[in-house]
Amino acid sequence: MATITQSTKFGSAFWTVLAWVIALIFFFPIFWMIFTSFKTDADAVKPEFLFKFTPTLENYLNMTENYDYWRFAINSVITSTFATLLALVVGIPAAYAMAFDPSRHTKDILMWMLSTKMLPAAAVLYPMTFLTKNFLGVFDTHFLIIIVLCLINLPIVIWMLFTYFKEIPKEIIEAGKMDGVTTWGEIKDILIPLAWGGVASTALLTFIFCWNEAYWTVRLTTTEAATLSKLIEGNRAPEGLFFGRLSAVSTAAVGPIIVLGWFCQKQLVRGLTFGAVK
Amino acid sequence: MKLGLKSALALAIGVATATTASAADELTIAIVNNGHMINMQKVAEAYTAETGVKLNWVSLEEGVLREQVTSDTATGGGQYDIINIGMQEAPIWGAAGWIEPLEFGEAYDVDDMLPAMRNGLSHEGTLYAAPFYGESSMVMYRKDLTDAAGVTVADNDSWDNIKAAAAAMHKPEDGVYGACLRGKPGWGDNMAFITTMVNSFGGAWFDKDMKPALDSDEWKAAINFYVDLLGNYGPPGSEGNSFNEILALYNEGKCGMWIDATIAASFLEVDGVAYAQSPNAGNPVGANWLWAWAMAVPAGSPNSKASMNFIEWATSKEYIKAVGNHPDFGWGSVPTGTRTSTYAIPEFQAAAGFAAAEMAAIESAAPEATDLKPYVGVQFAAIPEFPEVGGAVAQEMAAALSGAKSVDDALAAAQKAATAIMQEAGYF
Amino acid sequence: MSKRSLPRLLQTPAVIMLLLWMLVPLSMTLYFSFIRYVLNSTRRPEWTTPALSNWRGFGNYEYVLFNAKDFWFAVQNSLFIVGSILVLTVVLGLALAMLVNRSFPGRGIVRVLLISPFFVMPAVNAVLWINMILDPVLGLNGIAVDGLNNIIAGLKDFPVIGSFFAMWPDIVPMSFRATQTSAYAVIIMVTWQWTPFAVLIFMTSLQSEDESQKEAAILDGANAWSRFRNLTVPHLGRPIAIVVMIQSIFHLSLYAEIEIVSRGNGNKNLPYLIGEFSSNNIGAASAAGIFAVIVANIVALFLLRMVGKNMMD
Repeated sequence: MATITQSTKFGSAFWTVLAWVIALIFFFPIFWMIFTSFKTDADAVKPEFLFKFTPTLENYLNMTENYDYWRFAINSVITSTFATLLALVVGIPAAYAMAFDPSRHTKDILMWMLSTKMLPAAAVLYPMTFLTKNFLGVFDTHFLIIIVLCLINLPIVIWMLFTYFKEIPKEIIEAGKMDGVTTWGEIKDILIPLAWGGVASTALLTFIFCWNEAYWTVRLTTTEAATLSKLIEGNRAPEGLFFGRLSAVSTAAVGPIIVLGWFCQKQLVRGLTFGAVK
Repeated sequence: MKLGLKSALALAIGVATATTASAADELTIAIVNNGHMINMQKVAEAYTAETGVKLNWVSLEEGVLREQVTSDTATGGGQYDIINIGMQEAPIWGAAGWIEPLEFGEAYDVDDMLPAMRNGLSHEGTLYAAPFYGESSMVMYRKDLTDAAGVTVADNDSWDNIKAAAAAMHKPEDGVYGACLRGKPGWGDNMAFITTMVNSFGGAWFDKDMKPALDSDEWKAAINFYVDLLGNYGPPGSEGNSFNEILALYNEGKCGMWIDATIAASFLEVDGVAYAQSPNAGNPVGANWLWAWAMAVPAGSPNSKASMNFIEWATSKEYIKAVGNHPDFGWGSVPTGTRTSTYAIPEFQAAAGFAAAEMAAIESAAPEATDLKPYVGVQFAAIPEFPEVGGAVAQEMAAALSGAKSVDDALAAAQKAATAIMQEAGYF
Repeated sequence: MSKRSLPRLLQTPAVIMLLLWMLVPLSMTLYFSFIRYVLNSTRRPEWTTPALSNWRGFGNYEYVLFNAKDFWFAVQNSLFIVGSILVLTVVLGLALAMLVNRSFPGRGIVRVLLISPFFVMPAVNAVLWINMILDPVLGLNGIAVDGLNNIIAGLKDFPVIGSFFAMWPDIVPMSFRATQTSAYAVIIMVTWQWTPFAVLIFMTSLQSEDESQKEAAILDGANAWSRFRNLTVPHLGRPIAIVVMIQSIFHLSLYAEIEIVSRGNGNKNLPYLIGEFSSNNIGAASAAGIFAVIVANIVALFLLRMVGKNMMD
């Protein structure tokens, strides 16, 4: 018995160390980016590791003073938030209908929705530019970016919500119906509270996808609605080596979402457990 | 949601104009984020203070900029008041009516503009884009290393000598590579350098019927030499190196010589840099390239007058003085390669050791169509199809450099792809 | 049936929105794919306006399939990248999820660190990896190989073993932008980014595993491997289906990573090919786009057959 305990102890220490080492390896590139953001552009390309440089805030000052970081950041917050909300507003009723009142075609519709996500964006760039700029006149507006981000993520939102809603016993909903509750009431008072974890993690995941979207947000904006993805594109230059600057911009662009992810990690796991993954 | 609602309202009413259309007291300028353009944003604060015109800068990665500006201009424009374009686009966009002809006042002294730049940015004698800074290519090498190795690099040296010098300086065990050259695929990246090399071997992109000439003996000789030189005496990973990557290597003291844009000289921080005119294998179509980052006004811009005023200022003699006298910048960082007068300024001559070499390189570049090549442009052809052709060929050249394909196979594939594109475009 | 019609109506806004989102641009793409349409042409100016008079039938399709460069390569390579990433993320994700599912000191921090890459933007991911980590001279790759070479050079001076190391050549660091390796670079960076997603999904799945069953198995003397095989694996069918499905959706349209790593040298997919055409030839770009839609649908169909059932029930 003693040997077993000992070997388990040793084994446990081994697995713990391994977990730590792997986690650090996975985090290293991000650490490296943050680290580089405190170097000048000249220092940033030097192959010396560690602390042979004087840390500087120059890159961050430059970013906020000359590149209007806050405007891009605010646009990212606005578009991602409202796109997520809109996707939920459209997605919850749809998932509700599919989960509690399925027809023969429900699964096909769901699959078709998911397949729209596979359409290559590059194929419709010109039509989209033409439509939004010349025909609808919504180019470079928050409205357009919110709609586009919502549509891109809608299939995944509906599918995730569908899997959560399906876990809720139909009887509960039926009981509500007997009591004369309206459909809206059912959704608001019964469904959402019951599936709250799932709704929250769906929202979180959608927000992350919106924040990181970099095809349409770059190509359908000029200045008014440009998000952080566009700020990053602007800091890659053909004749100028700006790793320090680029790292600072990148850190400032992914920082908020990483911190949000950290805080909500538990929620995300709990939410996912309830529905899709189980 | 307020912003969203406002836009929704605009949609509902059916406002079919571009929403960014702004009053003439505000200009939206799309730029590539190169050093000189970054400085411009600072220097232009004085312009805003003086004229009251607010400037919105949109900086974009080169490829994305081209894509966005193309899709904007091709669908009627309106997003940008001023766009940053290169010498490849200026004449053909001018010909297509996508950008407006530029006319400036007497004080602008358009004749002061370097003739090569003015020609390259014009179509049928009309100037369509004003050069903000210009460049050619030249050899930059480490005098200390050539001296130590007992070799010399001369102006318009033979390629064999260049190779000998590279071989003599090549000491990978000490972290020094003989020659750093562009290898990253892209018509403006590896092909810019490769084309000048092919030119110096007597080759060109197209023959007199605009048929691609990539299977010619000149191309074969040049590419074999290129792969040999860079493969044996270049740094590892050359197929991923372009201007930025090599600049970093050079400043780390890892390159014996570097043949690239003259603008690089103003970024070099190592001691003992010497310059020489581009090597030449003896049969010149031209041995060095010519490029300008220029500013143009998209056709149909509601603010074209204000835009032209700004361009007139930003490419003027005064602008160059403003940068030279600016407390943050100084004479070492003025945009060069655009005006003859710049090179006559004593402060500039004192601050820029590369001035004479750069001027000589730009003046010797020959973008005009000749008997040897039927198209305008040195390291590119000023035709709308060139980015596609150049991009396809660039990938094949990178494959040859990587060793994934033999030079002959790569050139054959490049020729096939280029022919298909030109045929598709209705050239033959 | 009438009281049922309202709930069913609730899915119509979503369906209509997605239909419009798909059909309007898609029908324009379809139209462009059958006409000559270039952005700019000095030879044939009439092709620069999309019009029925430029009708070309299947000409653009023919050009993309047979004359232009790299169509089949792009399809093949696309499947190769997506397939590799799927296998790697599922295997790594599973292993890591099991590793961090136990309780140990600092588990919370380990999880946070492990999950972080998932939140990084694709363009940032690519720039970071290719320049700062994989670069063979100035990146960590180069520094590491350089250090290794220095150690070997040092060992050469030792008696006895020195003669052994003297036979070693200098190691040349691997370039990840070469034709032969650029696909691997993309696979590495995307795997790094998406393994956390798989970990997240598998972790939640493991947590919902029936602990009492597990304990019973331990009492029955089942070893760790057979517990994993007989209890854990069957339980994982659904999370694996989810990881595969969601990732396929995202990775079929990789763009920034391919662009930044090698500009299509040795590594391409259909979206990238479309991008190359669309620098001028919109007709060909549209035809390639239609092909991409077809390929995407084939993959979708295939995936749904395989994993879809698992996901829906």
